[in-house]
Amino acid sequence: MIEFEKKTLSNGLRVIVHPDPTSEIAALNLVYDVGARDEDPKRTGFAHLFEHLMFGGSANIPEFDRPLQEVGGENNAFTTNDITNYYMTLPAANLETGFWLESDRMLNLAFSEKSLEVQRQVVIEEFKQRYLNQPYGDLWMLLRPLIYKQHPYRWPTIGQEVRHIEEATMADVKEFFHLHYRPNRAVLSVVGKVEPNHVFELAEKWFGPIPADTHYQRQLAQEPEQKAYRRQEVEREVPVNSFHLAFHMGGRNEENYQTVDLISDLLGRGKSSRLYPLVREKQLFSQVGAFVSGSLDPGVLMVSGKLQAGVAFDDAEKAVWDVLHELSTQGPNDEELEKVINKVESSLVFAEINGLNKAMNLGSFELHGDAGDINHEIEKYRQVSKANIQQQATQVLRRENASSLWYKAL
Amino acid sequence: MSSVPILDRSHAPAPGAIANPTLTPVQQLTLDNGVPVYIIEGGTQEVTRIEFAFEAGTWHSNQKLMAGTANAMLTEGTSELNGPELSARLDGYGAFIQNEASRDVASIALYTLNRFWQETLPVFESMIKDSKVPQTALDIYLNNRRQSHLVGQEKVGVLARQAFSGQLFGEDHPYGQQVDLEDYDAVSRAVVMEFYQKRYTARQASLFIAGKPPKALIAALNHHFGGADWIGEHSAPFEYRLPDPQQALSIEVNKSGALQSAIRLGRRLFSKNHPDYFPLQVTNTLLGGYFGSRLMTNLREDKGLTYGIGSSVVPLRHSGYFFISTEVNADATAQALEEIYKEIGKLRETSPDAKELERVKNYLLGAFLRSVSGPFSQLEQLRSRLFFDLPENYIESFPKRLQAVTSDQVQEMANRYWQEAHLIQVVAGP
Repeated sequence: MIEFEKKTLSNGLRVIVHPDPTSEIAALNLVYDVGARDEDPKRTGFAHLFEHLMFGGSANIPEFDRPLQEVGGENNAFTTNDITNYYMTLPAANLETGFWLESDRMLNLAFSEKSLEVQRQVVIEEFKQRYLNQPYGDLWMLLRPLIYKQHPYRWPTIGQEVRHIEEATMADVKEFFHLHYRPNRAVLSVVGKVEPNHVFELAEKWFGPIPADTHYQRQLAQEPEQKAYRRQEVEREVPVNSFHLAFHMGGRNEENYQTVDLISDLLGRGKSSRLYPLVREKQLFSQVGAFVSGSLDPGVLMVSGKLQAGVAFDDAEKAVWDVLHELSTQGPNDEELEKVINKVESSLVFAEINGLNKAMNLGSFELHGDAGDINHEIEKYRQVSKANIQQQATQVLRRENASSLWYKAL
Repeated sequence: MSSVPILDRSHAPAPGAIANPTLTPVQQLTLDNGVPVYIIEGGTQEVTRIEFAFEAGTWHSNQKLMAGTANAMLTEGTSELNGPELSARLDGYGAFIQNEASRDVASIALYTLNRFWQETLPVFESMIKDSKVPQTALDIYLNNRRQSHLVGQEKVGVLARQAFSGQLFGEDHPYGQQVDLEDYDAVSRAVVMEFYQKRYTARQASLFIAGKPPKALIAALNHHFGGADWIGEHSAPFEYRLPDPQQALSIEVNKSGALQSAIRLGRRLFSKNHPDYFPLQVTNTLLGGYFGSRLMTNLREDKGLTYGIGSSVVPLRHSGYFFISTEVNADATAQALEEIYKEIGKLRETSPDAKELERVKNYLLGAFLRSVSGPFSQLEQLRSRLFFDLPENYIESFPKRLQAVTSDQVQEMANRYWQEAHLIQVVAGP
């Protein structure tokens, strides 16, 4: 149970505070409701490039990192297809420095040409280092457009191609900032040895004067229902064959999310899962697993594995389908379902040990509904029945709903 | 209406006084068979972490891959349960196992919800005391390792790291050993068992507990782990010869088709109890140890040559090393190297100004606070202190030791340890 207090400023910024007197280190998280899904298809990679620019100086502060380091703080950020998240940890005594810094870059950025030029280069090197110059680095660049034909999830956060980053202009950057980086599109959460009222005062003082803007209306292309099985085969200079099978499922806030999440655990979480005999007994895979993407718009349940040497893709895929059919037709047993639910519960409990984790989770639950939902998450998992599992397995793990990628070693 | 003062956004709020952390006292006890136990109680969640450290690292074997294999096999089968059954048993209670072997030590930790410790602890005990190294699991594991090995050989960063450590410590030394595909074939069940039986014994063990362990759990430790049944034998210390100190050397590893080059640059140094370790660590932070470092500022934030660059001073139990590493656009390799040497040179020639050193110190003080925040983190610090045989007040004296480092000392460290004549340079790329 995470106890918290919440206040919404008149400009729409939501502020969440969870006091933890045992932590001298405070965590401050600011999540913006903008991700790669909000990008123009001709300018992909923008949300992420923008995240880099947020460190290039703001209206009144030439450098973001230095003043924070000077008070013993540390910070970073990440961009997903749904959100852009900025976080820092610092001694609780210096919390106000965090408010000063984060509010100034929400107020306005410095927008220097040099910063744009340098960060464009940095992101291009990141593109190469993580996606192009790595074995299997282009996996998601292949999978996304295979799974999504319309929805902007069809491109990765780094961008669809390097050219989009190269072509980014200062005008694009400014427009993006003024549209998305507004207080009414953000949630601030603070965890640590802090007084809620003091935090609310700081929020009012530093963020209160920043005007709201309600121009942005999210209108994303929705993904039409998949009608037929898809398969793509590629050959790459990699040492081992790699197999991936993706199924469309609902979004993070939809009713059956927890059920499908548990299905992925039953199938592929750990050595006691249903797919593991394909490694141990059948020796078709050297490793195999399953997970859900957890995205806000309809996401995917993914089965992934590396093939043993000499195993044909056809045989490996058929064996996976047999495991999926067995779950759809027979459902799970009691003990098995209890096991995966217990594991979810303990993951949630262990995650609550870390203050920064708590701040991030509170922020994201609030942004997408209500911070209080964080305390009801486990109940939702507990309510999933064997019948729910079987019904959703039948619904999701269908051939017409599947996209298969055979990533072959040359 | 009361008037609101205009907000001055151009100046940072006055910094508050950073309180020295209050460290939780460590409870110590010894099991009947001599295993030392260290307990740090605290936190808000009803969970406990129970971790064994064994003298069972790469250091403790003459055969390659032994330390990692024996450690990984702990979760793969006992006389009662096979791997999937062990996993199901623990999963059923929401427990986790975390195990790893490093160059100097191997460990296995159980993370358990307090309400299930009576169910999970015996499973954990059987993994440690009754590992059977099933052939099937061993084959799967080695096969996976072969595959990861092959994937690693495609990465310039991995190639550079291998060539670098091979050069620093020599390929016959456990810190420098290079693994080839054939080495996986040489691992048999019999030798893994032999290593396991020798090294995973009470004599080689220390036990670390953090979180909110129930009293009954502490009372039960002797029952589970304090017996003579797994006491083991004394073992002679291992001796290895390090190659002579090295002169500057430049190594190129060819990886055709790569888009980026990986650069690794550094030298062999010393362990954590060396008197220069701490001031050098501060010096290193300034050079490349945090986001505001000189290397990051120059190569990334000013020139956009790389996604990231960093440097570290790494202590090992019997040695240590310093290295800088980055990946850059292949065409920019020469420019990046030039800038790196320029930054090292600047530190040798000029002592940093007070403001920069102050920033580094404040950053490190914050990092220290983070590293002792909560019982699990404090336990990590305690493990490190004991492992490197450091004085009892080593952790709490951090702020004092930090304040004592001067600008001149920073320059002195750079001069003493970062002469170009002693730096080994590796570039892996096209």
